[in-house]
Amino acid sequence: MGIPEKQDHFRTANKSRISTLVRNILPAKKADEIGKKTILAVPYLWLSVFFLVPFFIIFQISFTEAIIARPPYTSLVEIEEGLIQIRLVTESYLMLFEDDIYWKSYLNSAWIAATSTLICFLIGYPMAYGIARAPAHTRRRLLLFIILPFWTAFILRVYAWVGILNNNGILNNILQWLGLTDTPIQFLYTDFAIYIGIVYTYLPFMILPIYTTLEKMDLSLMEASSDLGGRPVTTFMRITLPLSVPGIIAGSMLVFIPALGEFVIPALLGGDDSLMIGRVLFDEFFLNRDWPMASTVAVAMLIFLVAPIVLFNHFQSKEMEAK
Amino acid sequence: MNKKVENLSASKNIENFDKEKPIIEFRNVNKKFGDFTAVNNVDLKIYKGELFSLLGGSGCGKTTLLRMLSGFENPSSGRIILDGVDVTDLPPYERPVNMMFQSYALFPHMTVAKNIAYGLERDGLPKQEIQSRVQEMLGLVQLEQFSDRKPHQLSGGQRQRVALARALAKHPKVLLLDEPLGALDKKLREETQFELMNIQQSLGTTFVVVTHDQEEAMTLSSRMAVMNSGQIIQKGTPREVYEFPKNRHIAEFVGSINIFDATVDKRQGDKIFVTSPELNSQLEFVNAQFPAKNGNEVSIAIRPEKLKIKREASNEAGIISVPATVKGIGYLGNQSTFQAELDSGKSVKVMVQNMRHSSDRSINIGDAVYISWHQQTALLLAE
Repeated sequence: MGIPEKQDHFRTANKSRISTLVRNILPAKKADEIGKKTILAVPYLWLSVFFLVPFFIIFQISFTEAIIARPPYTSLVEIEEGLIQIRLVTESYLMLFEDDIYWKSYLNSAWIAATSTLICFLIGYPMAYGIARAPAHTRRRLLLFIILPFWTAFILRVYAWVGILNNNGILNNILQWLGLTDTPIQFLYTDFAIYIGIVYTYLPFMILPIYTTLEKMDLSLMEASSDLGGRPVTTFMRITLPLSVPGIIAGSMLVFIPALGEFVIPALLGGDDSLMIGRVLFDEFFLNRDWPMASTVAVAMLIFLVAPIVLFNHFQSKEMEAK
Repeated sequence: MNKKVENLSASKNIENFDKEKPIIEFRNVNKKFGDFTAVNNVDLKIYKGELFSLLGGSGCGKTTLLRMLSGFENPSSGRIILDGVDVTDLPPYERPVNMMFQSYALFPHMTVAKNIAYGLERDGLPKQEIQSRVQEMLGLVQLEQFSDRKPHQLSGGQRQRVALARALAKHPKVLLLDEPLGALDKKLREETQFELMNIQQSLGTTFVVVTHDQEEAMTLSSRMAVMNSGQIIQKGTPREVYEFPKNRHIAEFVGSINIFDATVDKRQGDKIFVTSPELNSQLEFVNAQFPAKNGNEVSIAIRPEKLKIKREASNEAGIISVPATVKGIGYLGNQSTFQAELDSGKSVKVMVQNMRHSSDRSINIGDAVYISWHQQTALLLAE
């Protein structure tokens, strides 16, 4: 019975070592806390300086009136005869409901963004799947090809589409050469061109998150499904697809949100009649010089379109955490 | 529980199985991955109701053999017959076998009940029957109250049981188990072993287990096959493999063993006389089939539990004693292992059951002792 004694001895020795360890660690732990907070403070500071402050400026402008001056709006807070006066003008908000251009362009933007997201998903999912299941060395090369376009300026790439979609452009030339059409087809300055531009630009943002979820998926799950009698289509629908939902949601957010406020693509590729909220904003700011109205449009967009998505995302991640 | 275990060991007898009708038959199966031969010319028959183990180290081809049975790999050549049907070219989802994966591979987005029902739903069974079969399976693995949990809310042992229930739900002709106890801790592993054997007995399903753990293979199996570099080196009941290992590799892989180098002196009828300088003695074996000729190098193998360690030499007939010095004693509770050094410098391991109170221990480190064994317990191995 010599061994249990030995163990006891070992245990007490261990205990005292742990207590000295704890004593040494305590101050360090406090420093650790401070370090953690400092690190977390950086993104918070960044977000408040570059997001919250500008947002409050815009929010404030939305309650003023447009005047011909510099800056082109009345000030919200005025000191008159020693009294602080706050003048809230809600005219722009009323205008939002009076003129149907605003809600029409909101709806149109949401529609175009949603459709583009769906198209990105339909094209992007098979691509992500193909890359994730490719042999390791090919996989890296394929991923490089997905990111490659980002090394050229965005505006240049959109302009390149003008050259392709033009009445005298590459696409029409090919169609005519093939004898499919006699007269050039109007591609440029239509909604079709906007879709092409958005899908082309944002496709990588759909592919990458889906690729990530597919790549780290346990392949034995697919084998288990097959082993239990699941044909390839069933295995995909019941196992692979449901398990890649987090990637699909992330990809859809990354496409939908920027597509919603997209200005450059509809401006360069879209027609005059294609109303998108980004263009309305631009026109209010730079053509009408109605800053309060433009600010109102921006605030409304944030509240009606972006906030629900952010909330949804928040609950989604809460649910993930619970797992 | 104990009674059941006894029954099990009785049924381990291979004579009980219908040798006419193998349920699984590998015929000349080869599998190559590029230049690498994972499975080399395997011929194997497994009978209905057996609990058969494929035992071997990593990369010996046991898992590849199992994956060919389930259909995840196709053999480069050879045929696989399952219950009289050639399944070599069938995809996994058309084979009447199910697999319990090493990682369990439970669907994380489905509840326990949904996981178990998955295979039954694929067969298009009526809802009522699926439900009753799921209940039956939950009962079998004692997880009734966990049916609505998701896999991540279960412990390792519970997950293992869900994986077992899911694989058994379709009443497969053969259940394949890939390292079924590998992810469990020692205590749980021992309990689960017997549970697995009970389930196998009560269902009568043929189990094929892949394992690298020789103890696990010995406890579980009715028969086992020891594999090395893609080939089956020896197959038989655990007792046959343990008591009569075919060569040095198997002797060393299955259980622990003392091996001594020796040379064949002469053969007289079915008697073989060998000299071992390491043992400092001449030994006599009776084995007519042994392939060695005079002058050949051979090995003498003796299991540690067949050796005795005493202060005096034994002069009984048939007992061989050699002098040694005790170099180390390991106390394991139920037994002790002695590390002793022979005069030749060769170190020997002796396992002694601790029948008496340990304070009575009469042999200490540094003592001069005699290691003795009955000459029939020593094995003569070629190579």
